Amino acid sequence: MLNMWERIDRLKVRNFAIVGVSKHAGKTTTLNRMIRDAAFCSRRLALASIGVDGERIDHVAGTPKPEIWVPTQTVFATAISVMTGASAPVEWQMPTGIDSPFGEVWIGKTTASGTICLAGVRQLDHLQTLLAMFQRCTIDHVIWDGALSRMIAANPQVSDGVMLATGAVVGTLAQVVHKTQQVLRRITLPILPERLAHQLPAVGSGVLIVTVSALQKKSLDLSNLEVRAIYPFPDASAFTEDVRTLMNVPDEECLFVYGGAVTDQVLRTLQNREQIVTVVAASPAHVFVSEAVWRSFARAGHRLVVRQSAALIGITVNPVSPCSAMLDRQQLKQSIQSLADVPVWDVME
Amino acid sequence: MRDLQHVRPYGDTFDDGMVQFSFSLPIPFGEEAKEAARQFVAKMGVLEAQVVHSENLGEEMTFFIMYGKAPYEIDYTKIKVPKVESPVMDFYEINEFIRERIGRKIVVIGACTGTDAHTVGIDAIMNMKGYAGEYGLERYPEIDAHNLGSQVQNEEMVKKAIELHADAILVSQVVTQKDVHIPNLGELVDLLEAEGLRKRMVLICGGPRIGHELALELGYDAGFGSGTLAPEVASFIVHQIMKRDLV
Repeated sequence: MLNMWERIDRLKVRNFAIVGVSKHAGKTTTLNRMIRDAAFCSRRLALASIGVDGERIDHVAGTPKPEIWVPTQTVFATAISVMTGASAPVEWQMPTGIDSPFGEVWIGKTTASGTICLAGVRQLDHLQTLLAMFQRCTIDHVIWDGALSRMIAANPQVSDGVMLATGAVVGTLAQVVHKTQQVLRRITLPILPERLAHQLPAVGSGVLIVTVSALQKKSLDLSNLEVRAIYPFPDASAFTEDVRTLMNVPDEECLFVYGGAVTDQVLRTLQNREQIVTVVAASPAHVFVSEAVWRSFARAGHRLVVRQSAALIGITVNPVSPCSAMLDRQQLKQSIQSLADVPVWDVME
Repeated sequence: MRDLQHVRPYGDTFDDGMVQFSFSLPIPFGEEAKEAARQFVAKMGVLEAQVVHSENLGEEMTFFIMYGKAPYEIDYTKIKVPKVESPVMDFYEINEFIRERIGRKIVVIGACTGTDAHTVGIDAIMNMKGYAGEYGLERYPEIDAHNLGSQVQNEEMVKKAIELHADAILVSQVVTQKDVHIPNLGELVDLLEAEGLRKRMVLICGGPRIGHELALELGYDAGFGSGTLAPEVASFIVHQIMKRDLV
């Protein structure tokens, strides 16, 4: 099987996020493994976390957490005040202007190997600021360590890849598989075909209603569609007006392109249309639909797709839970492997 | 001079390490139950564990109060807890700050979200009468405060934030069993990010088990614990508005 960095090279991924299916799923353990392997293939990394990582004790569960060990010349962003317990000597390069309860976030570079602590970064806006700053440093890849099960770091605006971490913390094997499948379904949503996407303008945070017609009759494939007319509604969203009241939506196949969040309400509103509806979300990070509503929408013949998505690099499994529960590592790996055609790595191996 | 590098619990004398536990075990009341409780506490590393009170809760459950000696110590000098650094102003100073520096009324919405119906915390901050001698935000002439109440769904919060052009959102979570508050608080942030609203707002969460570290993990700007008063929250909001140029 490919190792993590071979897979990253094959996908041509430069910046990626580690996303967990839940808290304690093994995100930081995955990060440590990637840092260790990167050192063997001389990759220069830039790191930041949208949570608090590298501290020894988890502040919610009180359980021990893995430290983050990095080699020399690693670039990272953190609030300097949280580095008191870290061992790596650091040359502080520049302030980022990102304020946090821990103080301002700075970019630093280690001058020898040791441990670091990452905290203070919490918004997509911060990640965009950091990405621009990291790109001015001599680095090969940016890694965003996730927090809890939050998806913002997997937003295609800052990441072209995503590594999913899952593990025994979720519960029994069946529960781990079910939860992982749910998250995978969101991360691997079909992408709007490029030919169709190119015909659509940027949508910002509004909604576009796009009427389409099939190039070849009897084909339900999205790549078979051609845009007929585009109706922009810049002030519409899942939280404002019901899109059906914005115009007399023609009784033909339509794409409903959302720049903001796609929620249960959006799918419920459009489900009863007779013609096929395709809801287009900006990315998986913009999708907030429950399983039941999504299933019902799909059963009615409609589609949910995304405009852009970060490539799924692979899945890491952690058979050990911080509550001391342990799953059979082989069984866990095989069960997760059956969910997707991507590499699965046991981070505790 | 106290030795703050080797701090141990105080019971009757300094450094005796005395600690008290109260808990229930799902076993029938009796001598075996007391022994089970003693063994349980001993397993936590506590020395001289003794049951000082036990009570039959019915349904084959027993409640215990126990004492014991903890053989551990803490280095208090190495403890660092992040706190809000912005200076806390009083009611009059905050209103004057808004009038002079921000130049318009600020809009704050607050609620207990998800399934949480415990409004005591959010009411203490938002309601006009306030708490502990401090007016709530509804009393501030320069703050347009909206208390949305309890069991407000995240989608409803976002909807209100858009409708009212909120400058700040306060979310209270008192019910935290099985960490139910964590996904709920996180989802609100992700929804605001998806709508492109997060960077335009000050986002604060509060509750008995919430501090700045958890708030940061969840993507909030600050997390306030029990006992926080309205001026602390309002001061943080107005300073953030200025600092982040959200005027």
